[in-house]
Amino acid sequence: MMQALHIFRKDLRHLWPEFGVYVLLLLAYAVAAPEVRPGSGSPDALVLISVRLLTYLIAIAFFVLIVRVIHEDRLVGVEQFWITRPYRWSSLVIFIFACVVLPFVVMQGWLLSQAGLGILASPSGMTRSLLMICLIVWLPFMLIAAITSTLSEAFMVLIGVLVVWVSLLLSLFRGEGLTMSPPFAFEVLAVFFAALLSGVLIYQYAKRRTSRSRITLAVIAALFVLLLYGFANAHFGSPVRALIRNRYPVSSESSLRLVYLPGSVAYEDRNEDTHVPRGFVGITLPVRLEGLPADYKLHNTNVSFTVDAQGFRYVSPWRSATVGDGSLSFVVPQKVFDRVAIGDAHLHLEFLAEKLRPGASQVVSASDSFRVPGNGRCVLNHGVPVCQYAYWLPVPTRVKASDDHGACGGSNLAGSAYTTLRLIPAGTNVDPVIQQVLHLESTVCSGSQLTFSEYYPAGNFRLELDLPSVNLGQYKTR
Amino acid sequence: MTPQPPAIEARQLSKQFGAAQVFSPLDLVVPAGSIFALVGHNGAGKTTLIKLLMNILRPSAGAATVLGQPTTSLSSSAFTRIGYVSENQELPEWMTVQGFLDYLRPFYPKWDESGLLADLDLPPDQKLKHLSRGMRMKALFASVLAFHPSLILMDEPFSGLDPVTRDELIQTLLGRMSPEDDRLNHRGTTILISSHDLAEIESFATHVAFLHRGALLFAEPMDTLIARFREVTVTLSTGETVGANADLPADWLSPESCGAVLRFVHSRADREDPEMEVRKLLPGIRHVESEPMTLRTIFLALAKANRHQEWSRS
Repeated sequence: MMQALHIFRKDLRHLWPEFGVYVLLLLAYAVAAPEVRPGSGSPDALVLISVRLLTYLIAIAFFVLIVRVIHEDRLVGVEQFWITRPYRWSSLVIFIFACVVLPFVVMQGWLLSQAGLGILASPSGMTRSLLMICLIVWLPFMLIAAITSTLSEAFMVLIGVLVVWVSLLLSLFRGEGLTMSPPFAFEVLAVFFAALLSGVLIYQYAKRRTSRSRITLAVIAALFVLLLYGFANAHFGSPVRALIRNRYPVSSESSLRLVYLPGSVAYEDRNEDTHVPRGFVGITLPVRLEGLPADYKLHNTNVSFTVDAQGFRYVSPWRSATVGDGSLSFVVPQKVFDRVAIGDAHLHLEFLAEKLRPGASQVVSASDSFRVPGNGRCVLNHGVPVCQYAYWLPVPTRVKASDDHGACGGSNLAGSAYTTLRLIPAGTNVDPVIQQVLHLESTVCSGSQLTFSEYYPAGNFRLELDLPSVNLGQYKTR
Repeated sequence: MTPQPPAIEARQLSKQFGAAQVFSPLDLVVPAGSIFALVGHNGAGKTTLIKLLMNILRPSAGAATVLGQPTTSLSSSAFTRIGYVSENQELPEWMTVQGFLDYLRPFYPKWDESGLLADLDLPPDQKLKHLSRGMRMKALFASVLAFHPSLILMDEPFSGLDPVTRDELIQTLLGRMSPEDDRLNHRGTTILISSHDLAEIESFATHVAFLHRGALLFAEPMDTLIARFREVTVTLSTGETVGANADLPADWLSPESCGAVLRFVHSRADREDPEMEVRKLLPGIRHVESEPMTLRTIFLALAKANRHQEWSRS
């Protein structure tokens, strides 16, 4: 430990300019980011650009600092003085923690306190966010540093990786963002690849076999792309569908069912304004979900269907769907639609979702800045509440506004907003404050009553619907 | 006193880079307490051998031990007893000489740099990047000698240095070596040194090994080697001649003839009186002169003989 601290002091003494620049960038971000939040007046365009620019500069500072500290005692080569000295590597961990992670967490704590939120408001969110940054940013940067010998070489590798990555994303995964992931796919893949990447880093530190480490990293990257490509193109269709089915068992409640209502769909249920990715066609079927208690909500709604038409058969992966009062909307690939929409087809549809039951409700009085359940804080921005949370909101929350006391000067305010903040965690964002605008039907004023109702998971279910003869062309929305 | 295990022992050690064989399987034993000189041409494999022994490179085949530990499992703690000095070593250039020593001090259980900088005439406040080649080498020496290693491996430490610096380094090295201690059955510091500076090496090496194109031609104590080689000049009687290509014994290396005078290097002169042997083989001799050789002349004779052999074979 003493030796690790000793090496840490040496690294800090040599890398103080890089560390200083990093700290200055964090300071600048800590000052600028609150200026562009709702409630802080109209932000200058320059400040907006600066905040965006600072985000990239901080990422570059991560890279420079990590590469420079690893290259202080670099692993590539055979002439470094330290390789025949009694060196231990715990110093690297100390440096990364003390000079990269700690200032970053302190900056995030400052931003949270500026937003009226505590740094410990969401320990789970903070842990998740830091782990994601570690896996997606810091660990790859450390690996690049471990297999290169100079900063310029490391930058070239980074640029190469980014170019290849973006090209692959653009060419392989166009319009497939709606495909449902198998259960725990993110967690399993994150643990799997974190273990692989950490293994390569430890191996390189233990053996300094750069060629092997480089080859292993290339193989891991290829495996990752292959997995994504296979998943995005439904090549793993059957196993993925089976995993999802297992996670969403067929509902045992006889009252819960899908009912097909032949005829046209009401315009307001047709989801005409829903974004449909290029290469896909939107379909809205007149299907009603019956048997769900009125105060329950649905979350994570997806469909998978099998369509047979004139000898042509298509089995779709699980894709997200939208449930209306009397409609079910989903997308179909254009080329499939062209084959099956010319006449009647046999459609077998499976629908799955997570039920959310209402939990505790809390009424809060709106003001310029007010605390809300879930360790959040909202501000009124021109009559629109903008709520801020640390890292994420752990439970979906429905918000209803009322103005019984005439706070808005007698106008009859009534409306509601349903937020699903847990789906947009801070992830790898530099700013830990996430914001959700509550789009209510009317203006909210100081003194207006806002009812926050939290929803909790009440089980997963799957329903099936068989339509022996249906003309999908009739239900095309866009 | 029980015999001490060798400081370095290699068995059938070999190294290949791709298809290129750097050296063929070799056996080498470096006795504890010896100053072992490793000599050979450029590209003979000296640096590679030292890097294998330091676990900087991995052997393609065979195995070696250093201070009783397999080289492939040398951990960082082993380097508290092993020092390594190389002409190409990369140092933290931004540090001063004193800063470099201060930095290394906590790594070692024992550290004594008292008088080292003065002995080596090193400026403590000068940054390593501003030092000349000789000064850098001195700083490296200081950083190794300060922790009193049991074994020091040096790769071309005197290459390109002026005679004064070389002398300073050698004197400091010899002056700082751990002494023998019979009570502890301790033979003192072992040094393995590769060098081209044969004259300098000869003055203090106890053993010598000759590496030629990846093959170890010999490894033996210096006094045995010096005793083994003699430069023999034979003057034949008037009218007698012996061609340099005549069928001479294999031990007679690099024969050269000029009229009635034949010159060669006798590589087994320790076996019997070389003069008697020559007289037996070459009748009509008027005069035989046999002179001891320096390490440098032995090295040159061997190199020449090997080149001649290879040329003959091709």
